[in-house]
Amino acid sequence: MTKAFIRLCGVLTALLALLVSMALYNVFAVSPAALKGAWEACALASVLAVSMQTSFCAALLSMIVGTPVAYVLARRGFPGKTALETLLDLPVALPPMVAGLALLLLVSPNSPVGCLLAKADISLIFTKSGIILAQFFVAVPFYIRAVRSAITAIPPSIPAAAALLRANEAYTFFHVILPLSREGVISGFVMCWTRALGEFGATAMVAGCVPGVTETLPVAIYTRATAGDLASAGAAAFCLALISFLTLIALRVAFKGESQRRNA
Amino acid sequence: MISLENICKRFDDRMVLKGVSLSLARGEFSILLGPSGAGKTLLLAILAGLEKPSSGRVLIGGCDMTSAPPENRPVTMVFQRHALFPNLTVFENIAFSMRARRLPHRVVRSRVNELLALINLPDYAHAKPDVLSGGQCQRVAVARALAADAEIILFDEPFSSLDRPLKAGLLSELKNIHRAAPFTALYVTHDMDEARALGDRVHMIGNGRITRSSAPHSLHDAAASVSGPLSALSPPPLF
Repeated sequence: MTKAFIRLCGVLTALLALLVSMALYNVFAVSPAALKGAWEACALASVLAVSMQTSFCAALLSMIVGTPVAYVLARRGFPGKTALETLLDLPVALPPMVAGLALLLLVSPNSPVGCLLAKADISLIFTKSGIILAQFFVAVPFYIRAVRSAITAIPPSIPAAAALLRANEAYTFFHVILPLSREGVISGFVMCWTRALGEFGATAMVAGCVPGVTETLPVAIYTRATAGDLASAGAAAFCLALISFLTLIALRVAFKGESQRRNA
Repeated sequence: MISLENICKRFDDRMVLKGVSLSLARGEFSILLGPSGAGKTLLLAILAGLEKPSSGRVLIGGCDMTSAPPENRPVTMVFQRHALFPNLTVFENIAFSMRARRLPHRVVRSRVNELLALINLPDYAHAKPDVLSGGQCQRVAVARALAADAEIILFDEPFSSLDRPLKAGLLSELKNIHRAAPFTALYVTHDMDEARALGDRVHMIGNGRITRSSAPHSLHDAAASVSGPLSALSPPPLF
């Protein structure tokens, strides 16, 4: 029975690995010449630049907003906390197109928020700011989850000791809690950034696809593929997959040393 | 003078502390002796402000501090598992409270060096806690508590996880430190030898109440006369 169970586990693992490898093979099996041709013909450099800029800004914004939110959720109890947690997690479960439509309705010129933004001369629809907003909306829960878990993992005696050493909460946060949550902050930032980089539905709804302005890599893959230009779509997919792959390796290498130090 | 007046603490339908009253004189090293589950650590947490009592008052220097947050009380604590900040060096751990109070850098450096000498760890200033032994960690925790310049230091079974010879050495060091710079202390333990070695006064707690307060030398008499809580002080049989 045990042997059969282990065999079943092994077969399922092998099948999954095979599926992922076969699917990714087609993305990575692009000849350098074809990649170069598609890169130049379709101005993929500018698409890549838009994607990198906006996803980095979205991840940075998630870090600035998400860190205090994660701290409050990890360390404080208050009425309605569960409801708030569910609300903040909702963008993860929400279909991206629904998230995009919700944002579009929120910032459209006819809405109260859109009116305020128009008065302040801020335009979000069909702009890079709109991409950042859409990516932030979809990716910030990933950051909050990672940092919240890291803060929750700190033994309660640590902040208690800090309070009994006359440190106020802000001092303790910056000198103890945040440094001890470093791993969660970094992995949360990277997860959030890669999620933002791959965001398609919400981005397309809010920012559309203005070549050179709001065209991100996932949007480029979709538009090129639906237009029948599979070479360009493949080149854009290769870029996106390569970035994700390298990020994953970098994260694993960075935290391998850390976990080895911890286990020593 | 520190007074706990009629402290009660209830968790759901279970009353853990049932009207504890206790007074600690300034500079006195008091022991809170009792078996596991008697409410010793909970009482320390209430005194430190980490827990709120269900009823009763905490008076420190005549002021009602029952609702004051931990950082506003003249109280610090040495935890059972030392609770040193793992991201900071030994020097930074000891300097933590002084830096939080924005004391001048020169004052901080001189005080930390003084305390490092006091705990016999002057060569470990730049070491992180993860390279220290259990005994060294507790010495740093004691130095860190002394650096806080608190009126009262609470000790929550700080040496309970250490082996006997190391514990005896640390108890003697702690006694010397207290002699050199008398601070008011409340030391929680379930070990009668520790209570005898350290205490100026021993308060025995059992079943959520202070059952007896006496000088440490009369502990044997107490053991003979109060069979309930003290019988529970010896470790339970394994089988």
